[in-house]
Amino acid sequence: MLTVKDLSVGFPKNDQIVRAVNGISFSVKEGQIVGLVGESGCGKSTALFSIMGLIPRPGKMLSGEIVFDGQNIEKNSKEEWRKLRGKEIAMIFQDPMTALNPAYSVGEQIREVLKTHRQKKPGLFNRRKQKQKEVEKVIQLMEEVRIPSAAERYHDYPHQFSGGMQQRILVAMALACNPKLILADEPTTALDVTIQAQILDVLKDINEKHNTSILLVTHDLSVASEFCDEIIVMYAGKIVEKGPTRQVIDNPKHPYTKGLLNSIPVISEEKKHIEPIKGNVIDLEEVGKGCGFWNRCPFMTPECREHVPMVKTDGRDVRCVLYKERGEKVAH
Amino acid sequence: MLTDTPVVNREEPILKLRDVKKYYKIKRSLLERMVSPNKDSHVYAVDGVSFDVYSGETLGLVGESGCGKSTLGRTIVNLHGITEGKILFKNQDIHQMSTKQMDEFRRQVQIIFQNPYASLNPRKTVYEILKVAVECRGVTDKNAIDEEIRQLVERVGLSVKHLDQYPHQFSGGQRQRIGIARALAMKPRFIVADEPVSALDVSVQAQILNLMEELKEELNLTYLFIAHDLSVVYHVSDRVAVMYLGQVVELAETKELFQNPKHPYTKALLSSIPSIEPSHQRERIILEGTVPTPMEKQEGCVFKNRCFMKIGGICDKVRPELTTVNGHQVACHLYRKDGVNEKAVDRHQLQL
Repeated sequence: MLTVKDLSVGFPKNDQIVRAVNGISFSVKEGQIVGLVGESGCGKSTALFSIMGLIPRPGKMLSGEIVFDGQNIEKNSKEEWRKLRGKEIAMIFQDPMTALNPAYSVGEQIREVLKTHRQKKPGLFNRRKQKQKEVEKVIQLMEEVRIPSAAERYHDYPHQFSGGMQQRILVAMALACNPKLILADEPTTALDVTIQAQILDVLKDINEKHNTSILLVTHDLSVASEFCDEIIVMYAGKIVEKGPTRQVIDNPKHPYTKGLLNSIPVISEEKKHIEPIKGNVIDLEEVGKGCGFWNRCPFMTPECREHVPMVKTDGRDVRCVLYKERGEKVAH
Repeated sequence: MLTDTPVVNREEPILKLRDVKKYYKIKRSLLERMVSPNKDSHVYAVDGVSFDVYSGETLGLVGESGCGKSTLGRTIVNLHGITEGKILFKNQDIHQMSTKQMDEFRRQVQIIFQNPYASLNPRKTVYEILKVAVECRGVTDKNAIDEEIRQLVERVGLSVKHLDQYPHQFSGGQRQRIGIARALAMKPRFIVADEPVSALDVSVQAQILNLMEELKEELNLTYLFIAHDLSVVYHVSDRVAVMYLGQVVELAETKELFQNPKHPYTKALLSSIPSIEPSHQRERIILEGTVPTPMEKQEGCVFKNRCFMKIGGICDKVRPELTTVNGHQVACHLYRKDGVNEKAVDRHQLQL
């Protein structure tokens, strides 16, 4: 349903262009939940924003195609974007406190989505009726995301809600026009773990009930592993590994994915020693065409600095010179 | 490694908290005071916390945002006073210390802050930041200071060339290393670590956790490790205290607490942790509602309005005391002094 091909996004810096997203390709199928995972600065949010046509200035899309529902959307005009955003593709932002307007009641803010995407303008006489209908729809939406006593809270303002409740409002807003795809940018990062469980539960419900696809951006591999059907791991602007969730988690191929999994403290019978990845993230200006992980990788070879292709192995795609197309590990 | 942690002296607690309370008074406007002069309102941030920290152990303190865990951490290092109760460090009440004793206390007890971006002075180089701390301890010889600072930065994984740089030139993980070096400069015995890794990425977080673990063994430190991330707490702590709305609801050995939680809140909290291991994806208890405001004094149990095992009557009226049940300290009416309130537990398990 959504296909991204060879997408690159660049930001100018000192007469140079730094590629925050560097040639990524992936697709999201109908009803699928896909997780885009990586550490801060790896380009996962930028990738998400470019699907919405929201790359912050002075960033620019350098190359690539974004195909949504059979149509190329990357060259959309403002007018076309307006029809798409909120209606076909909706977005949930990380920080609900800044995403909501403090000066309008939450009900009105949800209704605004419906107002923007009205089929036709109401005439002079059925305005009130139209509004009444929309208000009912909003209350129904608020109930769907499990806001208690929704009708009474319609007129409340964002500051009267807790963080978790505000995030529900954003989810309701995203749901308003029954979109085919929801883009969620770290929707639970600002929340406590019990509230996080509630929100993920709501999202899962929506996914099952409306068959909505969800593209979830998160830095938390454990959230992605429980919530997503497929995981895409990004590092320094590139996809290093993607595949079905259990396969990636249980049997990671790329040294970065392995390192990331080893550095997560896990609650298990025996306390495991956590193994951090040495060093720091590479400067994006230095990545070039090679692998972005070479300076921290235990298996570094001179080949890593050259072009590293994506290869299919063991049911998933990996970008690493250790693996070749036939699927066997290259002796090292 | 974690399995051979240094000897924890269970006989003598290095720090004792006895019914510590910290209320913040809410400022009211003139009009409000004129309308109702006798009604003062407070934020009950910490409301009656008692526990011991033993020498050489790591006590994890977990809870959701706003439960008072950071406030408690700050009251322990005496960054602000308390409303009621007693904090005893090495059997001395820290609020009745002489100035000289206080200086010694401040040397022995250090804090590592959550946000490495805000807790370092942006106008000072790393050298200057550390120099203040070393001088504070009474070292005056320039060569000795330099030598000590060199050892410190190398110990925390930075190099001498970093000494003349300013905080903004470092990444988050490196800044946290500077924060740790600053705390160590005082040669402390006890360190309060207030969410030291929550601002960091996982791969860097693991570096810092391992560093803290090594330092603890090398220098025989005692940690009070405050965090909201339960898997981090599981990883570093010997014992864990769970806080909810200003109170400790459960305290037990780490493994025991995670495998066999007693308090309903702990149960729900543990069940909502996402895990990469499918075997640990247990039946999820999704709690209704949110944490009530700490601005109202709660009657009865603090968890009553979200509890899924509530006993009518008693939970609304009587605040449960922290009592010891099978090695757990738990504050819940399901568990009584004379053991478990079997009937109630059974009844609720049937309902579940």
